[in-house]
Amino acid sequence: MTDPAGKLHITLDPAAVTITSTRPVRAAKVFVGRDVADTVRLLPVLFNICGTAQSAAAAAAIEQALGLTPDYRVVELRRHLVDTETLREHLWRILLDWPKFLVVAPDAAAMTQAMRLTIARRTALTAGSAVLAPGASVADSDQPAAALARENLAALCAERLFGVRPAAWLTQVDRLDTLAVWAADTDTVAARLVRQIIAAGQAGYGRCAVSALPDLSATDLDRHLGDDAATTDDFVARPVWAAQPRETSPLTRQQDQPLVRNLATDCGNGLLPRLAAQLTEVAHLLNDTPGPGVSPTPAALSAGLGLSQVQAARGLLVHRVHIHEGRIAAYAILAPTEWNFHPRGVVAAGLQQLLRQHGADRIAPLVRLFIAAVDPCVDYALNLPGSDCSLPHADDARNAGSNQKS
Amino acid sequence: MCLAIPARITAIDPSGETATVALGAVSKNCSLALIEGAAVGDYVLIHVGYALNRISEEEARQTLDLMREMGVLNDLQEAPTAAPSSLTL
Repeated sequence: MTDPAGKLHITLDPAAVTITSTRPVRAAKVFVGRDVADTVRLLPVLFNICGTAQSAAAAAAIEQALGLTPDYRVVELRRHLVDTETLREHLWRILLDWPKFLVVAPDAAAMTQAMRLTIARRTALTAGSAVLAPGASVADSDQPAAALARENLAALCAERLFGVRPAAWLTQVDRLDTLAVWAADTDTVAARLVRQIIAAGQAGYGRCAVSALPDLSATDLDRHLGDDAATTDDFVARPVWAAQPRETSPLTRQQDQPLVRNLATDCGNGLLPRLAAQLTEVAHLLNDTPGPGVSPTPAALSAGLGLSQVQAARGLLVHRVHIHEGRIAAYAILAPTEWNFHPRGVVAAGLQQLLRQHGADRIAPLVRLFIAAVDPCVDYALNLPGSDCSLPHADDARNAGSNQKS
Repeated sequence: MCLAIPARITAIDPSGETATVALGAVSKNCSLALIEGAAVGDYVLIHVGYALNRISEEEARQTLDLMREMGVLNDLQEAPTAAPSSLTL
């Protein structure tokens, strides 16, 4: 069976890293010809991964195309909902996937509790209102219940992730030496993984020169996501900016935070800064600190056009819609995975450097960890030097601990 | 694009941690770590080895119809068609 969600195929060779994708990046075309109501109903059904970010992006783009201006409280509430989804996605990685790299059991109990609390927060925020629908009215959120759910999430993460309150972690851990002290003194999976990477001298593994995607205006993006199918199809499949591949991820969002900025001095955009950025983002989300990515002011596009930018869990998500006489004339979605897993992008360049730094021997778990640190949001097959076939994911994770350098 | 695949739970292991799901004649194992109270017969969305959340039979049908329209289910002839009566994943 071919997976309808598509797959990344990643091949490491001393001469080159090759990444190909079968992801259905042009899937949004399925909405062309449908009316707006039908599209709004079906879009979250189809794009159910990061469904909140997808719905928020769709609502903003469609509102702009229809000439609607959402109430600022609706915009703010949507941001809270997307942030809650981002928190859930990060905790999924940290509590269920990071343990595989230490060859310990996933913390399923903590993740179950995290799921309950994120659902409770979402329910309290929306209060039964369809706030993600275009033209939504202001919801009567249950703010005390939403705050309680966030407080309980912070307590959960203090116990199972940070070892201290997230706000205290942000204050105490601001550079490599304080991160190392925290990792040595804390008995959580996140701390142990950080400790292992520092001890093995792998903090800068995968460092490369691919730079962050700059802030882009709707006008900038509209030039590449227009109704011309040939231009748009190529851009959503293999996006570049100023002829260069770019990164959009928690690392680029958190790059100005003290810990991530200081780690970059020695480790660039390598493995440890990536994990640190995810932890930093979790701590900020639990504090309800506004994200560093400022929502761009909608540009004056032609009538019937709408373009939105939403910071989703894995990076920038862009929707562009053209509505003509109540029906979708064009719809394009640009997802962060296509930037980060571009054939010349940060994963390709980072893995090439990782191979140089570590050598091919027993590299599989490190490759998996680096890919997980960028987070492709899709299954992948891996071909490594000397392997005859794609490595199965589960076997690789079970062997993760055997790859450490001492 | 980031899609999750609807499938029907056909078996749950005694620990309750993993399940077997079916899409047409194709079976896969998945983790139940992200959902609570899953039962055989439930429809769930599958993504990178995890059952993400429970959905209704109608939502499963709509999603598969859209995927079929997109052409990404073309090689999955055994997947259910739009007719609700045939949705026997």
